Amino acid sequence: MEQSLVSALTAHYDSSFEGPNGDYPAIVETIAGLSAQQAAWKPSPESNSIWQIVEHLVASKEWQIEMIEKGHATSPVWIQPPGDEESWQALISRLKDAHARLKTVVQKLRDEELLSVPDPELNRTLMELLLSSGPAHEAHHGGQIDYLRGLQRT
Amino acid sequence: MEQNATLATFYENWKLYQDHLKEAIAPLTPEQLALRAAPGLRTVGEIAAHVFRARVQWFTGFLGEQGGDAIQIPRRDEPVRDAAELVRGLDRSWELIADALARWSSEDMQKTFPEEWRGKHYDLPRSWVVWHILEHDLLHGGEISLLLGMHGLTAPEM
Repeated sequence: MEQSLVSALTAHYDSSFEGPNGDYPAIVETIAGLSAQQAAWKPSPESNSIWQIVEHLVASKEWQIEMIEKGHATSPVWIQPPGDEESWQALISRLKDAHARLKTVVQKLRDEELLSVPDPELNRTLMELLLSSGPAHEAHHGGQIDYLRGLQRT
Repeated sequence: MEQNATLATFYENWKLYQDHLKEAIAPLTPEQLALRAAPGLRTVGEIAAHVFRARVQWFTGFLGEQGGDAIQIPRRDEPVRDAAELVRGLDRSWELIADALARWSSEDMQKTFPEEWRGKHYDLPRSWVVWHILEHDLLHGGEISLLLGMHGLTAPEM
């Protein structure tokens, strides 16, 4: 039997991450062609760079995998990027790899599992946790990446 | 599985985000609404107006929902006058969405609507449009969050 919630959730993951969405870019589109220098740029010392946001998205995907597999997970942290091209390209590879692994884990779920509450302390269904930490979270940060790119073009 | 409960699970966090967005916009002065990160990029007020303009256009113009006429939407070239106008727009457009989400069944969500984009034909399910607008809210909410944070103002959280 088709798992309709799992299918819809997977489609949302792809929409936010890969697009195309027509009116706005997906994550992969926002970082396409960016150099390490552009990724590490900040509009002000207290702002996050695109690099930091992408690191945060990788950590968030790892968080979701852990939450699905273990029922609890450690919150992602923000890091200071090294800044060189090799590290930036490695980060993009890690982002895509984490997305693929996360999708594989999500696609093995059953709809009933998505409506369960994995961590009583959080008191939210797995579906809510994944939607808010996954596609919704990525769309929010995708807007920031796109705006930071726009800022560098002006 | 109960269909409406499933839909509610799917979209209830959208309302929380809408509330965060309103809380961030409501206290802003006209000068703060006019803040932009750089020339050529939208101001805080323009982004917020764009958020509810897109909601209304997709839900009424594309999906055919009623009620959009009562919502005052600033033109693209028109400056946003005050935060109350934006909060009202966010509220009214949210009512349009919430009313539709409460009414639509899972079958309704599968109904498709034709669209031509870049020379290609698409039959877009209603569920795609709903997600598209939710994602659009989040993306531009992220921009507002960045922009307000850059100017030392309270930003909407995820």
